[in-house]
Amino acid sequence: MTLDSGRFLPRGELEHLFTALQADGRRVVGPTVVDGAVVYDELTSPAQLPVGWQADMAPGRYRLRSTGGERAFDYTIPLTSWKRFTHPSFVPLTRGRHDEGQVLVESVVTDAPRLAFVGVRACEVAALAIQTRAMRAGPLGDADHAARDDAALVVAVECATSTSTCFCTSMGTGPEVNGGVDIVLAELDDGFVVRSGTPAGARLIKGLGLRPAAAAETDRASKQVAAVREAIGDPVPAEGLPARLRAALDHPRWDQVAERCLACANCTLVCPTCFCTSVAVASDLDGIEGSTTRTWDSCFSLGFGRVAGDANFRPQVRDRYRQWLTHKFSTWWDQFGSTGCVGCGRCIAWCPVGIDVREELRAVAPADAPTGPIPWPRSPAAGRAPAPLETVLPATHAVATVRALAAETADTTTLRLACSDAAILAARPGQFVMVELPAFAVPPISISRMLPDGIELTIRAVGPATSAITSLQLGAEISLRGPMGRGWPVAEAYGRDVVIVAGGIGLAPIRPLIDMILKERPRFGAVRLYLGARTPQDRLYVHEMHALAGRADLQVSEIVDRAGPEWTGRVGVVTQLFDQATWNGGRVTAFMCGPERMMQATATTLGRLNVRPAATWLTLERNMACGVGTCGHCQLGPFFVCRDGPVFSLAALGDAFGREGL
Amino acid sequence: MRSSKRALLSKTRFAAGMSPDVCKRLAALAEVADVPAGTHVIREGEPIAALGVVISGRIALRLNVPGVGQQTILTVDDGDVFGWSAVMPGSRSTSTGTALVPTQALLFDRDRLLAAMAEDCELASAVYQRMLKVVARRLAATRVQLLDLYHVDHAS
Amino acid sequence: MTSQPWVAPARHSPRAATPRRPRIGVVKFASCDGCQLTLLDLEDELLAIAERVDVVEFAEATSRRSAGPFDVLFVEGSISTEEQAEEIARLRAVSTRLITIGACATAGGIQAIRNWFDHDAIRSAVYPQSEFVESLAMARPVADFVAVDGELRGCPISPAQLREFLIALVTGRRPQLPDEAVCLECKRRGVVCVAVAKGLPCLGPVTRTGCGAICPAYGRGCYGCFGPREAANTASLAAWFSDDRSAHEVARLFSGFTAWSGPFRTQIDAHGGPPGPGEPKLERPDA
Repeated sequence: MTLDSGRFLPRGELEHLFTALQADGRRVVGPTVVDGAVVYDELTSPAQLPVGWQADMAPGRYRLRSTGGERAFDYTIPLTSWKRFTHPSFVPLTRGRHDEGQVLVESVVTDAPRLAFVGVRACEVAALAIQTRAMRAGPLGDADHAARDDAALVVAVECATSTSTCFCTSMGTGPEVNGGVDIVLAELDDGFVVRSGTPAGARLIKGLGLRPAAAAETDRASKQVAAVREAIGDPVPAEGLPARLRAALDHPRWDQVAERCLACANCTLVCPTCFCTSVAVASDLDGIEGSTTRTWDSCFSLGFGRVAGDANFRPQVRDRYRQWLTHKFSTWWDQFGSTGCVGCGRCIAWCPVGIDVREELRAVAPADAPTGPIPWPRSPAAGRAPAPLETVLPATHAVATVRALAAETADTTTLRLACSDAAILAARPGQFVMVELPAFAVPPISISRMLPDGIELTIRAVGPATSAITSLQLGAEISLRGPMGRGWPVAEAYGRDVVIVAGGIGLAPIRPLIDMILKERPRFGAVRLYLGARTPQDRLYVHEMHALAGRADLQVSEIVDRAGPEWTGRVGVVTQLFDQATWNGGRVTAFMCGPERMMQATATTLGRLNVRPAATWLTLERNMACGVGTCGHCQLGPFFVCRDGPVFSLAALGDAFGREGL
Repeated sequence: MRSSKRALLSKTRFAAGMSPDVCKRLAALAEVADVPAGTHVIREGEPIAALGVVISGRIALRLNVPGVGQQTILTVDDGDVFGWSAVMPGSRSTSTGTALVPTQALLFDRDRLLAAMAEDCELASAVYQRMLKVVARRLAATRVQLLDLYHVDHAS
Repeated sequence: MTSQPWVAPARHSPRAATPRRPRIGVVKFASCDGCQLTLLDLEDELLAIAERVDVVEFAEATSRRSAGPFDVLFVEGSISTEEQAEEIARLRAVSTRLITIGACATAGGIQAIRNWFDHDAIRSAVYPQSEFVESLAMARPVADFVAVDGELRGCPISPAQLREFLIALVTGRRPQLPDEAVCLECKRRGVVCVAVAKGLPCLGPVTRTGCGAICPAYGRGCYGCFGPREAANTASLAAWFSDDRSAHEVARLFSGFTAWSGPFRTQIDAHGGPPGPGEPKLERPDA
């Protein structure tokens, strides 16, 4: 909604605005000086505003300077961003109880306080909208954020000053506030030009009984903000930046900035759009009552890219800095259809060693840099509108009961779970669930079989949580969240030959695919299954696979990396099962799962046999905390593995597959 | 006997792309062997008597690991080669090859083969090319096996 | 980096009725005692913990003594004497899990600053009759002498982390002791960065979190009690400090309770060594 024409609020009557907001049942949050910086905090009166303060910001430096004047909003950008209130640093997620085999987990719903944000800059208005799109990118969003966002009334203040770290002009987010807010103020020496942009804002303004703003006043307001635009200039070559960054993944600059970067995470935590979080687990001494909390985290943390067995997808600082910058300025467009950066400059000022993203961008992706070769095709998620508010609900947790346990190998167990939850029973092959046992971390586990009354999960005990889950007794309960992710596109293989390659525990997400193919066997041509494992003792579903091998309508071959003298089967790597095959790859749809390096070798071999990348499907594993695309952990280039995957075609992934440190 | 050896050789993947004439000359150097299950065709550390091409069956290539025993690190199936280092004079076998099932193979006596290759460039070229492919494929496999990709470090 | 330990639960239940409670020991070497005290500071949980574990050796808390064996042995203090070196070896042999607690045990402590100096000179400077004092040339972390199964850092250790560790021990889950910068804690809490807003030198970006960002919350820079975190880019931070400080001052900034730790030590060495005995010369306030 565009802004209406202005009214005028004299300086001495600013108190009335506060009173009106409070009468609307809101607590006012706005800028105030604490410990030598302007932060956002709850305000009870305009006397607490940073009257007479200006901030001088530079890379790694922030100093407040007193002007002795009367203006309250000349401090440019504070330390805090509004995400402190829409996406707080600690949010309770779940409460759980695990007592004598019974488990119950429920989502904690915190009432969103009714707040009024006073002093929101143009860049921050844009940031709030950007974060909303990220938190509600669907199909499931973040309910806590949605509630807080919805309960906030925004009183923006147009900038009359700028500092050397601002670059909203380049990012297209300011300094003018052009709409999308409830109320906009432009501060003049003797008062404020007030405009409203929503019915709620209009109603509040009407209640203040203000006179219309004089032409001279509105004129001064627009000249003020125009001067700010002039002062900032255009420091970043933003036009075409996403494509240039995408093409610069191997630029030597990443190594250079990594030498300075402390990976301290300050930039991500002061950034108003960064939304990555982690889940902390707590419990009482007995592990009976457990809880989980969502906390701010950062792609710069070591643990962010870690998966089972302490492998890490972004071990070096260079990988992490590249992730942050390319996400903010490039893949954000693929994911959410907008820039991720609003040019507020906080990251520049609050970096302890003064790394300036504008300088980094000019170095790694200058205006004349090449835009190709493109490492991955544009994601289909680009330009997704946020999910409707009413569809963003707290997560539901389904209770399942252990009906059977089978030890597949020394460290892998299959649990058969009975569950009556409709969503779980409607799961598709290739989807996964988050498995919740109170007091333990929550791992994502692929469903290894669908049943009429439940599911099976094949779990490798690699740590405390997976060990606890695989140690459950018959009749014990467990909680599940899901199902999540995109499953195997079985229909892609109708009328075609099928090749399935599974390595190690990769056979687990493949098994429900095999079930589905066999259920509709006549719809497929030749079906060939190639299985790899470390040793004969590490094979999964031995009897089942043996039975499959006996079928005439299926070809099953298996191989192990090494074996003792009692094994008479094949020994070698799984690609040796088909690298000299004579079947026609052009008619094949391939599905594969296993260690990523093995899948890379398989993809290459299949390619040599003329299997098209668009007809080759694989499933990826990444660190997942939420499973729904809001914690940020599972990102791979432009993709959220939990939401855009975990099943992908090779064609869709492009060069993102197997690229080091991505 | 010669024609049946040539017929056997020409049907293998090993001989794919080989000219019929070279195939004939190579087959002349071969003996057909029927190897019962459990028989060793080569022994780790010993001089190799012959290069072998499997017609049907399976040979396990094993290394002895003290304290663990014989470990199979590769199996050789139809059309594949064992004793490839026979083409390198003076070499010894890098593994013990044992038939896992009754196996039929073409065996090329090392001295005869090397002598023939010294005289017959076309033959030598055909053999070396194929040995290189065998070794390359095995090297690529070994590298991946070396990475032990299925292994996961359990949190300690 | 030492891995975080966890105790595998019995096969058929996550909280099996264990046949016996784990035997816990708490011992001390060259240290101030503060880390052990943190155990006793867990007043609310102390009784509950005491019911679930069997504290067989903890001189500060009980007259019950034991020379082992221990399921979990908490070790405070650096190894500074020959006797201590022998004792830690003996204790290692009788402990299933050995957990070092505190800056002294994990990093050598403040006393490790003596490692840069001549042993005799230091002893003479500190003790009037140094001939009666026997010590090793260096005060070193426990991990230099024996294999360590886990560590709780800090000076002193954090009660919250200790609580988390004990709960993880008893419930069988992995203790969450994140290896990230103090900066994350500051920003989560909303603490104003003293480095950027006041120009105060702060080791927070290269120091592991765990203390709850106490010092910055009170307006002073972090001085690295919890030791360097992973990927601690001290070279870059030292370069930043060097912009308006002498090399000597930069070295001093890293010469704190965990000075002897790799990345901090590297910067101290690169900037001319830590302050020596007698430095700094402090002025009396009324002088």
